[in-house]
Amino acid sequence: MEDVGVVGWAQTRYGRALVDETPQSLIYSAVTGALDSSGLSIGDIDAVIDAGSDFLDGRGISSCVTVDAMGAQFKEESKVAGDGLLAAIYAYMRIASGLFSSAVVVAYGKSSESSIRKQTRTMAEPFYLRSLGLDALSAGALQARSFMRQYGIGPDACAAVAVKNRLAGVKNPHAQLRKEVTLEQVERSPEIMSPIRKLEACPITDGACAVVMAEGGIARSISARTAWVTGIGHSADAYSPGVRDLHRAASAKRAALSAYKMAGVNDPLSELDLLEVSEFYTYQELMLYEALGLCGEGESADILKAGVTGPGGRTPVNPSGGVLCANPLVATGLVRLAEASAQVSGRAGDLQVEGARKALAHAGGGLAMQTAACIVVER
Amino acid sequence: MVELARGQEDAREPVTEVTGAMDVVFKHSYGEHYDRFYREMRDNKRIVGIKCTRCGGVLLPPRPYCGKCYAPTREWVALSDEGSLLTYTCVHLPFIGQPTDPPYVYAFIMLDGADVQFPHMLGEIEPEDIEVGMRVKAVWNTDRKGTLHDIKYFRPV
Repeated sequence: MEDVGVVGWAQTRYGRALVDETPQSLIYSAVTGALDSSGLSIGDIDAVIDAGSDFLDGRGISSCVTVDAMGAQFKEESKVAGDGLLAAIYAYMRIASGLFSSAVVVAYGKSSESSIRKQTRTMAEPFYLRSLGLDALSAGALQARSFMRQYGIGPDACAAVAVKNRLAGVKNPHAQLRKEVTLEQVERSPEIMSPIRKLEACPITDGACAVVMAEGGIARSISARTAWVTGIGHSADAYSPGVRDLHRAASAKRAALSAYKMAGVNDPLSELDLLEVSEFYTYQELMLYEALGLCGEGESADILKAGVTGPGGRTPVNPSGGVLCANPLVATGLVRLAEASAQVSGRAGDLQVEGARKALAHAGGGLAMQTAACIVVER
Repeated sequence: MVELARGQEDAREPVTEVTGAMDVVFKHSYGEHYDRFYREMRDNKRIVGIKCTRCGGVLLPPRPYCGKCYAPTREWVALSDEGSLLTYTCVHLPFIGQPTDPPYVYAFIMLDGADVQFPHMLGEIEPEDIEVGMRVKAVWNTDRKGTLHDIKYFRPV
């Protein structure tokens, strides 16, 4: 199997509604930015994998429309209908197989162009859950209470995740929300679906992210600072939230275990220098501490309180500010890879975790974290 | 718990289907290139293209990049509203979203000065008289709103 490295990445500006941008202009800006940062040109690329949502775009098979913007004319383009981190795993496999030498991975979304609340309702099938109007937020709220009750986790612990991540986001030039919030502000923000409060939910974001991946020979020839992909994993739990142990992120655990096994990570807390995870709501970051192996069952609030996952902690989680500071669906998880790659290659600027050599990027999908994807990158 | 034997369920009225409908409204942003393109049509009855900085091709609709070269575009170019017919179809079948009742004619036209075909409709001609290669010219609407329908159709010159 070929070595595969992440050699370039770029994010567009993010905003609640980028009315002067089309999906194509966002894609073009992300892909050209990622190519520039890699030193490769589009002519060097032989595969393009993209992630988009036909529902968000309001058109069918949207990669037919975006092919020009992606630089994919007459390349072996293929689309993933899911988070961009899955597109990165797909690209990794193509290169690792030896059939392809390099790939552009791009994910984009303009959630502002329709109603994201109506959109996430369509995640529920029409026969059962949709009749109740169950959407991403209400499924998340059911999971939040289940998790908090199971482990005796108080609302203050969830609120503290928002405080930590929003503070980190202040330093992130890409973040949509760059203003810190206090514990009191979070706890006093309106309850949008109990127990989730307004400041505990991710924003609605327009934007795109792209990464460039290449096989070892190319990566070594163009860059001394490649983020090597050493582990991948993805997993899907049962569809219906009703049949799952809602207080456990079982698919995230499995995805991480696969990635850790491949990367030879035995103790993530001491071996990883940071994690970038997809926390659409505050409680999800706590659940992920446990699922991704940073703590034992029910100990997530304790390690947060002890500062283990905070800035300067043993294993910072979301030094970028995470999804609570920007949620450019369906690029959200790919952004985690871009941030993790920047960290382990020492190119994270103001966000740099000192001496970072190994990191995990996580993406979540489906109602109440049904699915997960993980990638380990290292210097 | 009472176990139901097969056939013991109430069989008067089978439950067969649920009506699904999606009422999602989209506000698709035009972005800066479509903005200028449609403003030129609305305000100046002018079709504008944009030039690729690498191949020099004049592209329609205007966009930030040339898909073939993957290079940025820069220079705006005013095109003629006359051109040559490249291909056409006479639409007989009714379907949702049609701009007018069938029969009508869709056409791809190479406008003078452009390197990319322009999609529109033909009028003032019977389908049996249409010939590929014939010269056609835009017929502009008086009430223009900044859409492709600011042009009624193309007519033979």
